[in-house]
Order: sequence, then C-alpha cells, then structure tokens
Amino acid sequence: MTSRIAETSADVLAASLGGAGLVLDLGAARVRIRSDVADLVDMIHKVYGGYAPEPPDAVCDVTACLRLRGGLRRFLRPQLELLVDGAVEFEPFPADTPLPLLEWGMNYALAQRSCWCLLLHAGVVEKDGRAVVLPAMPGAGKSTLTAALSWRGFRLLSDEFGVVGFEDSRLAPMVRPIALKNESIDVIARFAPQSVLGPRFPKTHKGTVAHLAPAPEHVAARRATAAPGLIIFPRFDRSVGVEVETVSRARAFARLAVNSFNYEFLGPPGFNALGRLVEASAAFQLRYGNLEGAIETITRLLDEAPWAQERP
Amino acid sequence: MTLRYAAIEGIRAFDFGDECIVFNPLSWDAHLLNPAAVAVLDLLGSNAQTRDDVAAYLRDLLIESEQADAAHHSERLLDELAQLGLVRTVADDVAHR
Repeated sequence: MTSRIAETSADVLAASLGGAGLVLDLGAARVRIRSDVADLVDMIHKVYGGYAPEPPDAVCDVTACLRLRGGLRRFLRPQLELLVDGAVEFEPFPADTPLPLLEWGMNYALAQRSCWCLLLHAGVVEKDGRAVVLPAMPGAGKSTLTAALSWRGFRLLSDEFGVVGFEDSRLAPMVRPIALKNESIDVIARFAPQSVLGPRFPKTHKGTVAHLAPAPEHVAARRATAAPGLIIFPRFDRSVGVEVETVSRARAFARLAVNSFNYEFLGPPGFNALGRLVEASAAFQLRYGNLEGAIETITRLLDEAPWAQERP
Repeated sequence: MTLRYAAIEGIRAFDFGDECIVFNPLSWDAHLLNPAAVAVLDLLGSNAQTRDDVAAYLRDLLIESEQADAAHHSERLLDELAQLGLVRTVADDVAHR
C-alpha cells in the first residue's frame, strides 16, 4: 500500500514533484502537480498529507506545473508561473505565494475541463448519505461554513465544486484543501483546534489566505457519492444569530444555474441534472452570524426533511 | 387560412408545484412558467390550436370572476410563449395533415 503524503519524506516528495509529478486522486478528478519550488514541498506535505500519491503514469484530468520564472527579474523580484497542461494561463505571482497560485490555478483548470458533469460553485458536505450543497458568491461565508461543518460530523466533499452526475444527480467528491480568507482563518483555528492549517499568505488579491487540510477520513471516502439532500444559500451576517427561510425550488433552480461553472454550455444534460438535484432537495436561505447555530440549524433541517422521516 | 399554434418538439420540464421550469431545446434557455402558461403549453403539445381554442380552454380553467378576461389572458400567454420560442404557428392545412 502506498504511504500517505504525511508519512512521506520531504526528499521523496520533492523528487516526485520535480520528476514525473505528484499524482493526486481528488475523487471526481485526478491531477498531476509538478514543481521545482522548494517551499512548496512542506506546504503540500501539510495540506495534502491525507492523500496517498497515485502511480506517476496515471492518466490525469489536469497537469499543473508551478515553476520559478527565469530571466534577470528573478534576482530582483522573483516570481512564479503556473502552466496548466503546458500553457501559461495566469499572470505571474510573487515567489512567496506558491500554494495560493497552485490552488487557484487548479480551481480554474478543473472548472474549465470538467464537462462530464454539472459543476456548481458550491461547498458540499454529507451526513447520513445526504448532501448539503452550499452555493454562494465570494464573501458569503461558504468556505467558513463548509470547513466548520466538516469538523462537526459532516463529511467534506468539496469547498469549491458541487459535482453533479448527469445520470443520477448524485454529488461526487472533489476533495481538496479549503482556502480560508482573512478573519475566517482564526475563526476556524479556534473552532477546530485539531485541524491542520497551512501557512498564511498575506497580501494576496483576496487578502490573507490559508489552506485547511481535509480530514484524512474524508480523503479516504472520496469515492463515495451522496444523494441530494439540502440546498443552503448561506450568507454571513454578524448582526444576526441564525435566520432561515425557505427558497422555492424554481428560484433555487435559477440561482444554481447562474452559479454554475458550465450549466449554459451543457444543454439538456445540464438541465436534467440540475432539475433532478433541485427536485430531490429542500432549499433554504441561511443568514448566520454564529457558526454553531448555523450547524445546529442545518442538522435540524436534515433531520426534518421528508426522507429522514422515512428512515427505519 | 386560420393560424394555429403548437408547442415546439423536445421541450423538457420540471414541475415544482406553483412554478415550472421548462427547457427550450432550440435556444437552450430555461424559463420559469406559471401554471396557466404550463397548461397552455401542455395543450399545444398535444395538438395545434387556434387562439379561440386556447381562449376557450383557459376559460374552463379560470374561476368564474376571471372568465371574462380569458381571451385577453390567452392572447398574452400565446404572445409570450411565442416570444420565448416555445410555441410556433402552423398553417391550418398543415395542422390537420
């Protein structure tokens, strides 16, 4: 059995990144990471520690290559560039932000290439086989709530992508570290002191960013899909405790379609997948200023849902 | 020649109770329809109908106090459904072939 990255030496990990690449199975996709950036080794060791590397010749959906830029500039203000499947698709980043560039680059690449499923911009967690989909615009508190739920009895499927199957509208995991921003970093550090947080990167275009490692048991369960359950549109609002309001299915459909990365390109399969997801879910708007209260509310909504009443 | 109206082929729909989302297979747009629009679209999906047919059908669905406006409602619904590309006009002789 292959050792997990947390149990792999830094030298072996560096050799893998610098050679054929580190191949990771995220569940719904497989990625290859290549890099000559020395600082990245410790970061990957920490936030991808729960993964076991896949064989280096495995077929991957995305190959991300992070490298130091050449030229004279590297002596003055060193920069990083990210190649996705061999092409530079981003402006260079300062050399001290390798992990944010890698993670944002992989988000972009996975969103561009995943045409075999309906891809929502959403956090997704699961409990008792039912998915809780948390679609939101940036700044709504999606990542904070997803991270908190994943440390209170919910299994993390993804912080970024709601991967909806065309055939059955079940939610597939795309397990990766959760990118926390600004105040939410300390919020989660206090909320789940046992969690593993990577280094903090101040002064990115989204402020300070730190990555939360997914729990090893969630990584291990990355093949297990979840049935539709709840659709929760979260909105952080420090002026309230918790407020919940039913959202009609038609309105939920419209909001999810707008929020999707690829709905408009998919046509009939996307419409069917989204319609079945909404049909099988209950949808709510959740304003929260209190994490524990939000988790209690989501747990209660799951327990009160029609399918929960049918459990033996 | 009397114009008749028919729903385009291949419309997909999810009925969520008070509202229905329908998918136009030609434009790939999804539209939110109210129950009256869905009822008319259903009617036009089975057979092409004239405006008078649609008005009569809608009159039967409406409560008594609204029946006088059935013709006006059906005109508006047909125009809106046509604008969305969900219904098309067919010539009388084609409709009966």
